[in-house]
Amino acid sequence: MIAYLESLARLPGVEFVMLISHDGVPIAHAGGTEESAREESLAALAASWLNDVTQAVAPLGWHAPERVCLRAARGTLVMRRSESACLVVRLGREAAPEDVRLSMDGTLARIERARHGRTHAPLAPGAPSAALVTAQESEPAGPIPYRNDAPLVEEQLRPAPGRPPGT
Amino acid sequence: MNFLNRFLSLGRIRRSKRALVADPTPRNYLALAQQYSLAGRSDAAQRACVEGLAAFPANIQLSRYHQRTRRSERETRLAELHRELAEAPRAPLWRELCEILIESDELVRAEEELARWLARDKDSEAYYLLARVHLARFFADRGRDQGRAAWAALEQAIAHLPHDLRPLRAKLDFLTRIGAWKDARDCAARCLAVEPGTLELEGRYRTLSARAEDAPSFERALHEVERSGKLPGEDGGAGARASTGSVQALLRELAGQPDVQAALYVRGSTALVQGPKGATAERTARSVQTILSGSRSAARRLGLGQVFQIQLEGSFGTLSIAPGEQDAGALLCSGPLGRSREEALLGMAGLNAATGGEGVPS
Repeated sequence: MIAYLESLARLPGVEFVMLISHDGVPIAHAGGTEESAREESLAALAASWLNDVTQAVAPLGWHAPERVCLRAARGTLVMRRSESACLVVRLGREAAPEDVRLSMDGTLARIERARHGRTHAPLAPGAPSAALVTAQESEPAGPIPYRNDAPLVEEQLRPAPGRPPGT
Repeated sequence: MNFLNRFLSLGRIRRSKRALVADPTPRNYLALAQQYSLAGRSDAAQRACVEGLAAFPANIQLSRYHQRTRRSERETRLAELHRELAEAPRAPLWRELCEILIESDELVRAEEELARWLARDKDSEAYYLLARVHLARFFADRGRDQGRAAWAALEQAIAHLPHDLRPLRAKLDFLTRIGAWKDARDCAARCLAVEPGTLELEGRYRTLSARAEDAPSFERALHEVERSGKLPGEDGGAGARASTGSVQALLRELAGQPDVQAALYVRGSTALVQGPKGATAERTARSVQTILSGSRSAARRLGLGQVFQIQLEGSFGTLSIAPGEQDAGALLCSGPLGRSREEALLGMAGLNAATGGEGVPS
């Protein structure tokens, strides 16, 4: 994932690139040594701003914005939102948000594809089905082992013909 | 530039001058300034721009070219200073370099140069210039952290220059501007101790003493500035320059374009809205104001400084907001904003038009 961000961070004018979750947790970052020291606060502030903007437009019946830009005296913050994460790019004063539009879209699409690809990866013959593996992987093991019993006999009974279920 | 080029440029400059005499238009002023620049005479190019701007003050091309020539002259001087510093580093050169960088708002570069200067020979002047960098950053961003950094840098500068009034005065101005009157009064007393009998300082001391009664502490004052984004005395109602009519005409013109859904002008707690009507207009204005205040605060916290533009894109279209010091213009389009509309929007910000009673309260 960092490789995707690094290609974006190499563009002229790009100071810092970060992938964050919707609630402001940094996932990965590339570029900028100064910002990387305070990546957590940057992620939290950026996510908080995006959530504020989303809440502000909600009374108008609008969905969350897909792309937001904040151009200011000391640089520009561009955020591109996807269903699972948010790509944050900080630009220098000389760069315009339009310069990174295509690259950001491409990077986020690649990240989404990689994420999606991992979820639905083809399995070796004889392995359990993809849906089962996904369900097993997505649920972490509980702290206390438990037994998944078969349903009770009554629950397996079918209603008698002509009677509605549950009577 | 070789002799032949210089000789040829003289002819071109003469022709440009004749064209300007025959037809004094902004275009001819610009052509003359460009010829001067090509001949390497940036001072003459600047004079031509200044003369042109005096005759055509609203001309954007001339004003941009004037800025460009100033910037290039500044860059030339900076390059010279860097060269001289590499050969024989000395305090007056560092000072000039850092002052140029601070005045042109290149605070990061100024800070880097100051760090280099301090690492070399802990000059007291460098501490004062460092305090100026932190102050400039605070006044641009108005964040609490920048305010604390400015305070610390000022204290350090005062410690290194105990008999110099400049850092003390800078601290006095800083405390007065953020509204920490009590601390400002104490600072005025320190200034008077350094320079007793100064009438202006005595007057300031008396004024500050009168206001120190219920004054907020330094931290509280900083918190208030960060929250509101305004320094005490920066009243939203003061300085209305354009009339309501001129803004409304601009809004009507923008809203009349085919894919524009709404055009807004926000100032203080009221807004002028073209496009949506009734409750929708009210809701739109309120949303724009919420985004505006949230974004200003976010930019301060992120260390980005003063906000120039906020743009939201989504299934609703494009909402672009251009904030001025006290007002803002906003445009909601179903498609992309486009260059001409962006320029119109940026022109709307900073008009400081009066909206009293005629807009949508929000």
